[in-house]
Amino acid sequence: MSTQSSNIVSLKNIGLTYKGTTRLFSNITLDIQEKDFYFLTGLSGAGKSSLLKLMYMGIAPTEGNLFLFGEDTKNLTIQDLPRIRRKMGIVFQDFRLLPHLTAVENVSLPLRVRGTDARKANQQAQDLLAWVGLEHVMNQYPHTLSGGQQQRVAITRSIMGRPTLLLADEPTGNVDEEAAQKIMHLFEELHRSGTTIILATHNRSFAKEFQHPELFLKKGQAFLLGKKNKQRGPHDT
Amino acid sequence: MTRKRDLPLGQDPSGRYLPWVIGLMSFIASVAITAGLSLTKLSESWTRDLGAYITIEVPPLANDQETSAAEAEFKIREAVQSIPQFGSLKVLSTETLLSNFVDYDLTENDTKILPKLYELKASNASRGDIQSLKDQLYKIAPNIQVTEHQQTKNSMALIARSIQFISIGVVLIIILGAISIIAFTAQTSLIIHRNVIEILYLVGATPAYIARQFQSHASSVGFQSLVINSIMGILLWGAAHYFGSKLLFIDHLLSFKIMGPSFLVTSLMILFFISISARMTVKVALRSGL
Repeated sequence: MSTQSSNIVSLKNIGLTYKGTTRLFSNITLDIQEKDFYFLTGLSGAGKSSLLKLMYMGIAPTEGNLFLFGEDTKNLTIQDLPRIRRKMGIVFQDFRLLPHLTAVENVSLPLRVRGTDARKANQQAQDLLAWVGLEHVMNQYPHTLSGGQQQRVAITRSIMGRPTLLLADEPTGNVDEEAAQKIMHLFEELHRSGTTIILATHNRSFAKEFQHPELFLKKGQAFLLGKKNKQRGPHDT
Repeated sequence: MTRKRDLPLGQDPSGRYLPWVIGLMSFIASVAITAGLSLTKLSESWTRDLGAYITIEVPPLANDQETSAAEAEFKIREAVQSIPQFGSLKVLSTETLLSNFVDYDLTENDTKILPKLYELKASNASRGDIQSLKDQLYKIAPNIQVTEHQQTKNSMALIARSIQFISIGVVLIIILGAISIIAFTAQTSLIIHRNVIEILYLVGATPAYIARQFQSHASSVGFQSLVINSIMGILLWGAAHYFGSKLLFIDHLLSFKIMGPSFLVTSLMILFFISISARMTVKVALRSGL
């Protein structure tokens, strides 16, 4: 097993219980290293979104230790969250674009919150939108875009701050098949450029098609499926 | 490309009338400050012009008026000159004083039944000098009235000071009110924009960044209220000068030299306090885990 410091995400005997009674995970241990690409799969309600939420510190584990970029999240304060989150990009099924901002303004948001000059941030956002083939819609508002376009804008926003880790929660869940393929190829390209990706999906065929290991969630446990053998947790198969 | 706020605070229904409310509050505070400053100025003017004088009032005498009045004036001058601390005695023209109140020319018979008034400069005189003069004057005519304006001035100054304190109190209450309104509105906006704030957090925004968005919005509200207050101030000044000369000399009280800075400073003070209030409210709310 790799050391915690070389791991991007490290879960040690993680357990999560909702409202004190509903036990979602128990004793999950896994390490995710730089440049890994995992599909996080499982049936509806298996806890894919909750596991991602743990990873972006939307919720705290009720048991065990979560290490992000080598830091134990138990030792982090609310002031530390932005510093950690700036190393991450997060993509949601429902896009979560800000409706009052144009595509380019949405994409430049991560840079603006870091204090980059708005003009410079918008220029970089335009370049990135052009790279994902959305240069023709950059000044449009989200409601005027198709689902696939909105998701590509959301992905572009998530990679704007050059994150080390990209967490995607059902990014193809609200788009048609053609758009889903485009989005998956975009993730492939990001992975090739060195980004660590954890992509939650109910569509297990992606794992076969794109040949990345699969973290399968079932009954509160995580099972590693596929050819990835860099590291193993106690629940690996 | 123009820069928009990442939080659409300007679109909140709860804040739609905020510039008008804050503008009206600024206006009331500005008027209170103007009134306080005007009264201070008036009070200073009384101190200078009124406090240094004594008025001697000699009532009309019953028999042989001309002779008695002349004799009385001679004796009064003698009494005044006997005390070197008093300045010269000046006869006040009754006709001139009454001309503001009667709309016809006074005849000799009219003035005969009026008291004679004298003005005496007493800036260097002590209480003892004044008492000594009074004793001498009462010997000339027991019904002579000596009015010390210092006492009147003190009473007026006390009233002016009270009004100043009241105006400062009004301004403080209004500033506290404005701060509270902004704080409550900011808390409401935090709830309304919870989803946007969550997204901002997820893309790496700090609580300080989000608080700055609220501060910037509050500053914008403050600036709009400054404009509204200025317009209302100009209208008040115009109305005071158009109608005020006939009503209690309001036009003199509301001079532009006092009104202009009062309105500007009050608006800027409120702008400063509400922007700080918005920032602090949001910072505290976010730190305590919105």
